[in-house]
Amino acid sequence: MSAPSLTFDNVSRWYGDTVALADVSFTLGPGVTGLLGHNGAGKSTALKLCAGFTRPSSGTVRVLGSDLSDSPEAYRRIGISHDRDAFWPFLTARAMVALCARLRGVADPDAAAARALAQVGLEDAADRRMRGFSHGMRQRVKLAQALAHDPELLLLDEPLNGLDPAQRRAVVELIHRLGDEGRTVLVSSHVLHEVERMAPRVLVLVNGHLVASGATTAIRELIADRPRVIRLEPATEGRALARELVGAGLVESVRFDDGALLVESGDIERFSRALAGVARDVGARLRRVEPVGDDLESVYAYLHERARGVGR
Amino acid sequence: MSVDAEIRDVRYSRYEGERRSRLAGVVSLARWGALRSLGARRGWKAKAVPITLTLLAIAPAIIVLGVRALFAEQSAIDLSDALPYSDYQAIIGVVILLFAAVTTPELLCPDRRDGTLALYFSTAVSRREYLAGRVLGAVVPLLLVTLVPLLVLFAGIMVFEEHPLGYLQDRWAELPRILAGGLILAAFYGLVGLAVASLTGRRAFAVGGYLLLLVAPSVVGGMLGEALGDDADWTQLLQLSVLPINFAASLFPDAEVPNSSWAWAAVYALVVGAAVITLLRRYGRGSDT
Amino acid sequence: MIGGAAVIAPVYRLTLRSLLDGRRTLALALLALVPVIPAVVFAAAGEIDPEIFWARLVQRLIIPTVAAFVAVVIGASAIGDERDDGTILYLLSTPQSRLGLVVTKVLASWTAAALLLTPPAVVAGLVTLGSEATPGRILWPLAGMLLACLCYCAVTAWLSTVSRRPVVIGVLYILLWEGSIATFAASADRLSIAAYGRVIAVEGVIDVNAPETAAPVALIVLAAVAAIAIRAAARRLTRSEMP
Repeated sequence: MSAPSLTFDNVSRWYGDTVALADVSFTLGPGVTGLLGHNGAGKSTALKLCAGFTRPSSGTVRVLGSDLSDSPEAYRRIGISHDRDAFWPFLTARAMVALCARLRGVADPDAAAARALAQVGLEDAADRRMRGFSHGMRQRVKLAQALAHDPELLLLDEPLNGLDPAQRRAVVELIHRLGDEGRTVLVSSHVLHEVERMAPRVLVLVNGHLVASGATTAIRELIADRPRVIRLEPATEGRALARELVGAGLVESVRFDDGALLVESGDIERFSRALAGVARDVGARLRRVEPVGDDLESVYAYLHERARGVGR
Repeated sequence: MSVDAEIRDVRYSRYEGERRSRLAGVVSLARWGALRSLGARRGWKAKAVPITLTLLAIAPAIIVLGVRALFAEQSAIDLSDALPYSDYQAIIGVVILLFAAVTTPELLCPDRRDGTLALYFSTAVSRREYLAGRVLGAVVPLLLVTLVPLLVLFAGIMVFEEHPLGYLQDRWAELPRILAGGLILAAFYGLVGLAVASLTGRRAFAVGGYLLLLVAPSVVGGMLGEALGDDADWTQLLQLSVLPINFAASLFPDAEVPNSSWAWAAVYALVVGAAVITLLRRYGRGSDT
Repeated sequence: MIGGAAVIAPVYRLTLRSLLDGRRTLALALLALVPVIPAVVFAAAGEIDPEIFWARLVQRLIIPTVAAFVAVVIGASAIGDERDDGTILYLLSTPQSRLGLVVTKVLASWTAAALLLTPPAVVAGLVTLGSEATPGRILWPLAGMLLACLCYCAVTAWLSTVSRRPVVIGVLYILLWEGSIATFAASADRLSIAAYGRVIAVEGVIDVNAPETAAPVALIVLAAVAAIAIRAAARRLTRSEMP
């Protein structure tokens, strides 16, 4: 296993009396990781620390093995899309991306710029001055300049901001691809279903504290003290099925929801093994069985709720 | 089933209170503009500068009155000659300039920079009303340094006279002149400051540009005055930083100011007119907001 | 160039273009033209020796007021503007040395200031002196002005890394310190950038209010202050919070 791309070691950052990040530790390797948190949770601060735009008040940040403020060399391999809407109005998109590529040591900046702009869907507008660009177009130029020099590590702060649904899908696909190519990508967002599609792993920040990290499903597994909810859609004999499940002690509660059954089970293993048999005995035909609350939305809501009051 | 619980309806509701006049809107803009430019709600540093400058402006009056109070019998000085009103304004000219430089940008630049200008203009406040409110908010605080010190001096002298009411009867004609002088200065420095501030959203440029606009012609005027010989009094008209002071002084009968009052009035009207036109254009329909 | 940091050509072009773009440049260009006006008036109706008037024009208007203002505003914008709107992050997230970035930006702001200030100054000199114009009488003041500008640009660039209001501080410094105090207290001249510029200028024109220092010393002082300011600014860029 190669050295991790990004390491936070007991990092805290405070501004006077306000603590933006408290004792955060994690390591990042190749693949896409989502950085989740409500507004003010510390996502932007964390990304600024990763990007070397600020220094930790305590703890250490190591990016690609080095401390960025001491050795800016590492920036050759890092691509950053920060959250500020900043641009030089008199430059064209192509000129700006080529400039950024040139400054990062790319051998053929114009070709790299053309490639990057094509990846974000701006080939047609590449030669227009950025003064006339919409917010979404500027956002994509930011993404293009982060990609142009083929970086190993990508730090993206809300990259989908301001994009319309079609563009969002395209960028989500792009990020997914980048992760598949073996790059380390850290994406911050609070649109949970998109993070779910892009990022198999997440870091969850609440009020400056890191409350969970790892694969979404694994986090879900770890939340053991909360029963799993399963949604059953029986074509027939719904009530009978419910009666049997409760009677057999396989479920803790049953709720009817528009023809479907929502059951809560403490022991999901036992339940899954026994379900088919019970259904057959009762004569119920199951059209659909799906776990509810395994999605990122619920996990996040739960974590947030649990951590409420922490850090304030 | 007793009634010891209640559920409050805290949803959106309309404003059912008193609705005030448009004038109240203008006054509110003026009041809050003035208060913020003097440092309200902005921390002690923002308050320190206007307060210091005001104290500096009143200091000469206090000193003269203090001397009078402490050395009452020894001094045979006629107080009103110790510090003639026209000279007073000249002495504190720098203070007035700095006061205007520091307070006027706060009235216009933040709104332009933060984008709240568009917000204002989407309400019932018209563009002219907004400007009128801000002009008031610039000129009235300036009276603190252009008018109040002179009034303090006048009142102080009156108090120390043997017959205060007699003094007032003799010298009451000075009050309108003091008032006029104070207004002339406040209007000039305030409007020019606002005009420069309306050209940019950045306070730093407004402050620098304002000081520069008044100082550079003064330097040029001074140099030309030296170079062109004795009958080049007109170069004094170029000294924009002290233009209103000279103008106001020329209205006092005992002042010795070159150039006639009409010449001063003409240049004054020119500069103030240019400032007003700039303001109207920068805040007119179709200008960038 | 300074301590091994070379000028970064793309950043130089970008900064120069960014500084000269916009309405602010127009205002500064108009300001730079101001010295021409008294020159013309003098040429038409002046009664004193042109050499003396030109000397005064250089030492009381051009160097301490006009050039100083232009250099301060441009110098503060080179880094200050980009910090304010966030574009500096694109430049900082590159392997370019911070010292190289600051050197480049200061040189770009110096170039912009020189472009705006030199033609009107030369014109003002030629108009004022008329037939008495010699290369020495024009070039020495020009040199004094340009070297003072370099120092101003460097110092305000540093100011823009330590303060959120570098222009205000710079303007107050010029008007109050260099204007009033330096005229009254001769020893305060040691701390006045414009004064050192005047020292160089009076190699070619009559001394009006320049301090009693040798020109080479003034040159060294201006260069040293600029170098220190640039180094300090580069250090601040690595240490401070962005944006």
